[in-house]
Amino acid sequence: MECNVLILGAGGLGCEILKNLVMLNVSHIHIIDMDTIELTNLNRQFLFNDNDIGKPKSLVASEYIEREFNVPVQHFVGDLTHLDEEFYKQFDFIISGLDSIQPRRFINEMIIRIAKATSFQKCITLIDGGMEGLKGHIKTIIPGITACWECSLSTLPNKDASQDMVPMCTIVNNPRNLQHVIEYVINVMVPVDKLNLDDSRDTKLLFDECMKRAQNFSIDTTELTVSYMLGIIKRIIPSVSTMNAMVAAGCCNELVKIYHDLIVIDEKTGSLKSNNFTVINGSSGCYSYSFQFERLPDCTVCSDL
Amino acid sequence: MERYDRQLRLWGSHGQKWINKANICIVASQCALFQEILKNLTLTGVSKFTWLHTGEIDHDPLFYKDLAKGLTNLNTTVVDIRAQNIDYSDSAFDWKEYTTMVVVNANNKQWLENILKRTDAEMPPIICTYTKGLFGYSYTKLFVPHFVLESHPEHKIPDLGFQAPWPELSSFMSSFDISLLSSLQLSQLPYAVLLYKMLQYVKDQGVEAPSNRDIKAALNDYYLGEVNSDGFNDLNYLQAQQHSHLSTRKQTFDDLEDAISCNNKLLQSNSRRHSLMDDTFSCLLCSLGIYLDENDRNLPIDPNIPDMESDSTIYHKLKLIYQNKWQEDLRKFENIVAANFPALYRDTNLDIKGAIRLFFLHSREIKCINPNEIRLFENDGVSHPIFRQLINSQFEMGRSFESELIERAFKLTSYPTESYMGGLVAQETIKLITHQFEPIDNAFIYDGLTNNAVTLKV
Repeated sequence: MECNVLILGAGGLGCEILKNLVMLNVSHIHIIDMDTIELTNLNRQFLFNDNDIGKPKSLVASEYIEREFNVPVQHFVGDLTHLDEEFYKQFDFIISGLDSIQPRRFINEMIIRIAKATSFQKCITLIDGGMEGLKGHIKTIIPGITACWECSLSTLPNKDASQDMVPMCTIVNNPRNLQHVIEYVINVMVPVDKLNLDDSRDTKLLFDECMKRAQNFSIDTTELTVSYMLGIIKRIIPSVSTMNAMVAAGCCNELVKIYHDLIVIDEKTGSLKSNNFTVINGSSGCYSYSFQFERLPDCTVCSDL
Repeated sequence: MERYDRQLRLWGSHGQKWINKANICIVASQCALFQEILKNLTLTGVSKFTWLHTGEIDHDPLFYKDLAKGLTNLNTTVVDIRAQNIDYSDSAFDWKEYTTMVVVNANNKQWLENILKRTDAEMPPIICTYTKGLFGYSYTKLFVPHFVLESHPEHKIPDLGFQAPWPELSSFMSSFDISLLSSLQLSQLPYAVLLYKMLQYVKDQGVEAPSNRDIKAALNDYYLGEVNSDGFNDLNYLQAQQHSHLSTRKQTFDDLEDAISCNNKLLQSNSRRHSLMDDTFSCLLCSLGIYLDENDRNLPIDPNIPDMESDSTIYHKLKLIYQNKWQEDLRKFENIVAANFPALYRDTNLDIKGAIRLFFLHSREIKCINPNEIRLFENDGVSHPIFRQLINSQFEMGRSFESELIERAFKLTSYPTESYMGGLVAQETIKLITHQFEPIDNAFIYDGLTNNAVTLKV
């Protein structure tokens, strides 16, 4: 396939996407990531092994492909929000396998801006994958034709307004479970931004404080382990190779369809007739639902496109 | 942190143990879909495979040119793949030693039909899969019922046990003399107390328990009318409103009753699979049936009551009452298991205490998936057009396309489709191995053209 594709993130989704693009014979592949490899990545990031721990993800991933397939992959180690329009303009597709919202908003705005500035001479498709445990989503964004990422921003759960939010007075005065205890320790006693959570001495310190406070309030500590505590502090999201492969594959088939002209665009209105949003949930049976997410008329990013 | 941390958060270390012990048989040629399934299973920690090679030479591009080398380092142990050529005429092949079987892109229809139509209860579950273009399917064949022990529902409805209060709960509730408490003290009570008191008040008035529709009004009349007219903004009162339905809710557990009676039938006829896991859970399910018989069919109390806005000490006492009751129920259950299935305690491969505890803790989540008749190859067996098309293509039974677009999508070669189905099939295999999460019952069709996926019962 003769096209120039950028992969955002060389984590679970990134490794899978990279493999799929190589197998599709995509002619120019680039990959960017700012992180280094950790032990807990290895249950799904199959381009890495134990000897790679600590090395930059995008570097190791591209080396794997170059070694096994003799195919060049351009890699970048760094923050994708530090790159400019000139850089992004070279791509036909951007596929994202990121784990946070801000860089997604950045890249969405970037492709809309490029489409605007070039009067659609350069219209980059963004395909965004995301996953959490046995659930995932795939969004396809074609500037000016489909809803953009920002159009659907209000569908994201608002963390502050979520039902799980515990009042501060509970955390300070009436802790009743381990979560309340851990929130207190990291917000009031030992501010977590001053600690290195990868250092076992620091986590031991936090753990001891949590244990003490839980015992003071007679809270059951059977479940309290360092891994449990870090899960809450780092808001760790479970992930597994299987759903990871499904979401990444869904993203890549979007590229295949656009490349081979298998998506339907209404000739009169210029709008997309195919589905642009897909959600998957594999925890009870496997449900996947696709629909057309409409453009938001007053979207702050794409409404004047 | 350990290597499997991110997936242990899904199925726990007990789930991981079954994965590490699993023995999977895959019937396939050296094709992309086969490699993807194998890669994903190896990553989750499966390391024992038998590969029955069907001999066809596939022209798909392959990710691993040297499969064994490619899979090295994908998990912590040595991946053991025993490869042998399939003998389609071998009727004595020992299928029962496998945890699950996967059949990839099979084209020998007669053989597949025969194996899916077998009636021996010792057959492991079989997942058949096939892909073409932007489409693929998976079909799970069970020969005996499959029990899901932890279905991990996304939302659990708490059970406060008010239908059958036990002495410690009642005396805890009566330790609060509502009329003597100040507004501040009232605002520190967990909502369970407010609901319990409301039910008592209604009963004292000689009225029957309020229906679900009237319960909010009843709480309103009692608490704001009789107890604390200033309490309408207190968090505990607001929570009591929100959860008022829990006070009169009668928990039903049809899925569990089904599973128990289904298991009893299997035990009587002895037509079931024999493995450490199947045998253990069969005994535990049977014991749970006895437990329910002896306890007026009341489920064990749920020890994990939800958090309730309240004073820590009071909440802690309340929680302890539920936990102690659960421990007491657990002891009763352990005695039943020990009396009826003493052999379980002699198996050194099994942490029986731990297994009983987990089983009892998740007893509300138990589900039973029944085996299905195989109608895959019958003309009217499959009516979904894409599914029909895939089966026709798999066994070269001719094809006709609904539209030019579908035809083009069908004739395309797209590696991501193999990757998608490879992920799905591995995921379903893990569900069957761990008895956690509900497996697909029984066919799944992936349509990459519209991005829709359908589950069908064939």
